[in-house]
Amino acid sequence: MYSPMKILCCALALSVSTIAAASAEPDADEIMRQVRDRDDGRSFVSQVSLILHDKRGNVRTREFLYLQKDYADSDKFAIFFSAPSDVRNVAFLIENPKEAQGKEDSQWMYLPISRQIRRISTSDKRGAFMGSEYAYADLDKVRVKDYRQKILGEEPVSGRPCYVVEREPASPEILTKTGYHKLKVWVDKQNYLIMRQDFFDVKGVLIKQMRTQSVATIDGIDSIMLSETEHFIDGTRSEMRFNQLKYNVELDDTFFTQSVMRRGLKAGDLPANALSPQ
Amino acid sequence: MARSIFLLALLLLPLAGQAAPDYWDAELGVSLATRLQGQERFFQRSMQLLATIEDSGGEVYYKAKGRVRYDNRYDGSHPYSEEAESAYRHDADWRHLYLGMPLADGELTFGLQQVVWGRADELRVLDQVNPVDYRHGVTALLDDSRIAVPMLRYTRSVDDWEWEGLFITAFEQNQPPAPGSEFDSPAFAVPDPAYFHVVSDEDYKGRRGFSYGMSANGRIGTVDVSLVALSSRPFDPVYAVQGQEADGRLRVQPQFPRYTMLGAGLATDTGSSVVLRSEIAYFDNWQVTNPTVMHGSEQSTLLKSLLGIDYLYREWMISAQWQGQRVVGWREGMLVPRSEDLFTLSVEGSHAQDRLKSRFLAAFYPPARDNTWMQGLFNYKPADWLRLGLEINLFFGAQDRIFGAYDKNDHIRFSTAYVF
Repeated sequence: MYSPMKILCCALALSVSTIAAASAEPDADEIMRQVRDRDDGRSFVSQVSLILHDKRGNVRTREFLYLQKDYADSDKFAIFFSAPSDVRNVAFLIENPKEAQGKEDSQWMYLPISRQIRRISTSDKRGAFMGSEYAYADLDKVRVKDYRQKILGEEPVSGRPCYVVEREPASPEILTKTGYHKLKVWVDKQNYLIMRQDFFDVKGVLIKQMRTQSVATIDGIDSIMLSETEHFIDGTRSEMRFNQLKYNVELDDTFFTQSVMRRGLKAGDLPANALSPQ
Repeated sequence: MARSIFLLALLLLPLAGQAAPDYWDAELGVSLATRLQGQERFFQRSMQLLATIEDSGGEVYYKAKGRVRYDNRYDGSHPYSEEAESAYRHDADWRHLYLGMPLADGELTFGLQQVVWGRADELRVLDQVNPVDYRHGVTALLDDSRIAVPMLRYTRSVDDWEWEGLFITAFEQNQPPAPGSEFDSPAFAVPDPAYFHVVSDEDYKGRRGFSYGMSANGRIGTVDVSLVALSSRPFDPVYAVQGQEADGRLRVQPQFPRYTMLGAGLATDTGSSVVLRSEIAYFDNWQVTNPTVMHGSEQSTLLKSLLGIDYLYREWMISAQWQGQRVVGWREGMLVPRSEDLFTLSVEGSHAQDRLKSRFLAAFYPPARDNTWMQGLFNYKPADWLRLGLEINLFFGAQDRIFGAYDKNDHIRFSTAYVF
């Protein structure tokens, strides 16, 4: 028979060790901070295929070039569509201030049909990105304080151990911006890549799921090469395939200007080593 | 006709495999337009080839986009005038055709170009660089009707500002609808031949004039700022009185007197899904036709302004705009109103994974019952190679007003195109 004192000592020891183990694990905010701050180079260039699957199985592909460059107080993104012809020369320019700045991002769009650059409000990012299942909000860099988050546990995705984090909008503005009432995020414990994300509506119904299908190490950085988003209500699906990806490319500041948005990128604009098949 | 064939041959070169440019695409389409009133309902049975070619060699590149149109409605018997037949049966134009190259940290382009200043939605306050082809009326999108003009253009970024200088080497005027055509209206009327004899002096320098201008686009805080300056000639003529004919009619000459425009535009994201836009343009030495004064025209100052609100709701962009025009120093007899206000409301969105794009527009000059236009545009792409279009235009108002003049010309246009 164990004495009560012995049981109490064991329970105490177990509690202390549990607490010690728990304190070694990051909390949810820290995990999302690691996701936000993970090394993605000073800049990157990628040729991307956006593949749209409708509910009848028809497939359409859109091609674009995706450029990013880090600045002291912000990141700038430029997107140039090259195919098919009806979206060719559509361009986006996004300026995303660092979260510590406490500023909203700015977004401009060039539509060849009007030959104008128009500022687009960033308060509502629920719209579909070029008809895909990715909303504009899904393309944003992670912001930690936009959500209240907690760890639900750990679960492997594609054989990789992941933290499971539940996130809820921290303000009505964030809810209006994204339209998501709850997110469930699977974060790779090793490299802090988001391996899966579930999107829930006001009734707690799972409406959409984003899955990372392929990861590769490019220039020493673990990178998502194929992402897929499925819309369960619409029965549609989109894939984003990063065909070519290169980090720390010397990108001229002019790529992130409105002149280049208007003109579009042409062969030879990018440095010779910027795009090579992966 | 010869021009159409020449342009067609150039555009078809890549299709024939005679050249291998960096990029080309083409669209072969047919469209059928029918009026909702009257006897002769079909007024358009046309075919159109639109092709784009782009190529580069080293740092030099060229971009070409051309259009060839043939309208079978003007072949054989039709109720329209001879002018209309020659204006609409065959038609070919370059949407742009220019060479570009880097120069001193900037870029130089020269050739036929369209340059759009400002951020107005299908309205022209700062957008004064290119004239417009109104031969198909007032319903076409500006990108389809703007006329490319020959120019040298230099752009360069300096810090966060983008500077542009342009020199337009030849003058082109707006193209009115052909008299006696489906699109003819009193808004495009020329002086009544019963009272005026219009003479065209080939030596008049204004027809060969050049224009030049510059713009700067940047940001001050969270506000996008555009500044523009242009020295040009008006795209519509003023009529200068040259004397009197023996039969008592006044002899008038269409002239295009030089003016200077200074303008500014602002845009900012105010939050709550709203972007606010405004533009103002000041036209100095603006000449206005006034048949009651000695020379038939008077100099004035013109002010144009615009206020626009864009509201983004998911996939829908809702834009409301007011455009005001004021002739400062307006006098009795001038053939333009002292002031004019135009209101537009447009709703634009895309659905079904971007297969369906739709646009609804309502535009009116007060009072709305005299001068209103409503438009619905739908484009459906069941596949990347096929485009189906539907356009509905409804007009309301009085015969002497720009939209009201088409009150009996409500129409629907169906179109389909094969995309190569």
